[in-house]
Amino acid sequence: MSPADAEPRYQGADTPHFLPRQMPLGEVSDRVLTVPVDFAPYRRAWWALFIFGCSLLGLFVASAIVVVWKGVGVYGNNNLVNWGLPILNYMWWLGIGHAGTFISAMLLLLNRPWRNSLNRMAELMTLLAVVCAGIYPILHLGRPWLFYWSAPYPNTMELWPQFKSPTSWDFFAVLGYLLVSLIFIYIGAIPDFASARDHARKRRYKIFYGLLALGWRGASSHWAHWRRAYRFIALLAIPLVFAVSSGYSFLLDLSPETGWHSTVFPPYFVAGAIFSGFALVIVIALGLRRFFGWQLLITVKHLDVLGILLLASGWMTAYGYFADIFIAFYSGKEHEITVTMARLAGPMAWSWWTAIFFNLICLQALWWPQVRRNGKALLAIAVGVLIGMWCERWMLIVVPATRDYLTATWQGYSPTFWDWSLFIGTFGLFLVPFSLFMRLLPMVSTFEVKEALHRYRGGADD
Amino acid sequence: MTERCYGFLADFAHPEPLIKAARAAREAGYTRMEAYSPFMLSELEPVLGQRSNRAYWAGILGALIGGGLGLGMQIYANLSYPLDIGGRPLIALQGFAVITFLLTITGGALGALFGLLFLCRLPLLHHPLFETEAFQRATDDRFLLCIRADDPLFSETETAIWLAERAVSVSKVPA
Repeated sequence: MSPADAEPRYQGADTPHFLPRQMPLGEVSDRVLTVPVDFAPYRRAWWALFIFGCSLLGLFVASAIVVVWKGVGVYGNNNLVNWGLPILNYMWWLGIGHAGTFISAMLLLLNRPWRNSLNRMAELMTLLAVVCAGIYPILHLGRPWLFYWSAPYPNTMELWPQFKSPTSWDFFAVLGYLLVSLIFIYIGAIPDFASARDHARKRRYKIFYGLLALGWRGASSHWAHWRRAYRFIALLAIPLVFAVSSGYSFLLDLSPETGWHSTVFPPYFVAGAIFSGFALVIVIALGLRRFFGWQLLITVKHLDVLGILLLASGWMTAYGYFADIFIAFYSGKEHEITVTMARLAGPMAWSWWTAIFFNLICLQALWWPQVRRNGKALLAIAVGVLIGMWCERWMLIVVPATRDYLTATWQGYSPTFWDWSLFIGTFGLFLVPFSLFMRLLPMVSTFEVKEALHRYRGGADD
Repeated sequence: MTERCYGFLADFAHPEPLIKAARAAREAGYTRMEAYSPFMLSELEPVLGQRSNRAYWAGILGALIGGGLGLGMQIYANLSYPLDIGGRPLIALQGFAVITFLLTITGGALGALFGLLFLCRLPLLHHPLFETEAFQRATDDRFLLCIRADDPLFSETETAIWLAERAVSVSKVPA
């Protein structure tokens, strides 16, 4: 544990929001809202992050140009493995997005006020992860400039998308998820934009936040409508998460490939999605906590709860692993068993065992509170889970495709340079807007933290 | 004094005195007033008579429109360009359910967003309150009550005195 975390006030108070009971309201604004206005202390570190992100983004742009220019032949995909890395990464990124919605919407409706320190960053993560995911199917189309053909629009050929196909469902799922996440973030941030507007001293900031705040005044009649609109969208967002994740598990059902038809897939994918998303939330929360020195807002107790959530969603995902294997052997179908054995002991067994190592074995360290409360250990486990989940998707998507029904056609798969560079580049696509958000947006929802402080006020100071 | 006036703005350091003052003002007969706080104070809703579920209804309306358009679009497209694949039904409601559901949710979120903006009369980039110094901390850590000049009971002297008895400070908001 780092010496700073050992300070008692960073340990998290025994309140529903984990913050000190008597924390002054102004202190919350001072810590969060002065960041965009008075950025000097963070400038150097921020530029380092931003330039790092820009170089990755440059890699992304270069790889995307190559893919568009030369066609999808630059991918390592072959006759059998025709999804490969692009769809794998699509599922990985899209899954990550889900935890943001879960933290924001589900914990709001379940009335867990400690979420208020984390929801804004988790929502921004969702938005960017969906963007990173959405770019993949487009770049995988072959003629990406015609991607709008998947949208239903009146055209001279009177052709329509095939609405009975999961590929069409997926278009609406990603688009809907992007829109709903954006609306949810925006509504949730309007009062904070107003607050930032009133905090700003320079005119350009006043105009910037003033436009974003739309003239929000914090009037009680506005709050009455705001509360209902926000909760209504939260209520819609939860079934949406389940629909989107189950939706892309249906995509696998499209194919006759063995190993893609287990009935456990929809819940298994939802659990895996939330699991990998919690891992990235942990990475981001730890990063921002250190970057801005927000140990008082994101306390050790927040880390503890995130660790528990990671452990719990990890076990739900593990159930999916076991159920999938059990059903394969229980079915007695020879080819199901062949594919499962290829997952467990084939040339690509590394993907299965890496997934198990990170997602199941290393994860068990989180049973110990000392591990959950130790930033470095938690970070290591979370990064491990992100790697593990990526390997899990490899095991799910690539391995069955290499074991076709016809033994003579069996073929391996190896991603090319452009596969990798595009994937590494998407981190730039994530990092550049995220660092701009860090620069310009209040990364903690201050008014929700203040509300929680007010609601649970009373009693002696901790 | 002939200067036009939007109302009187009373400043409180804590939410509880604001809620008490709002209740007292309501009992004293004031009707056109508004409270301002940096975060939601749900206790104020009944006090100021602002309980309204119209934002929910806007969301529900949006959801119905989104779902209706979604289902309608799929039925129309299949009738407009019929594809007989393996003799499967043209209008397959099970198959259409997913997109209908997704568009219901998207429509609901859009409905709630536009409903919220309409009900709050936003965007409104200028407001008399923004000119008042006391209002600067309304989104930070102060709690304000404004009795508007168009209130039937409003009087330049009496309302100011009435508010000054309860608040930390009272300021006049020019229109």
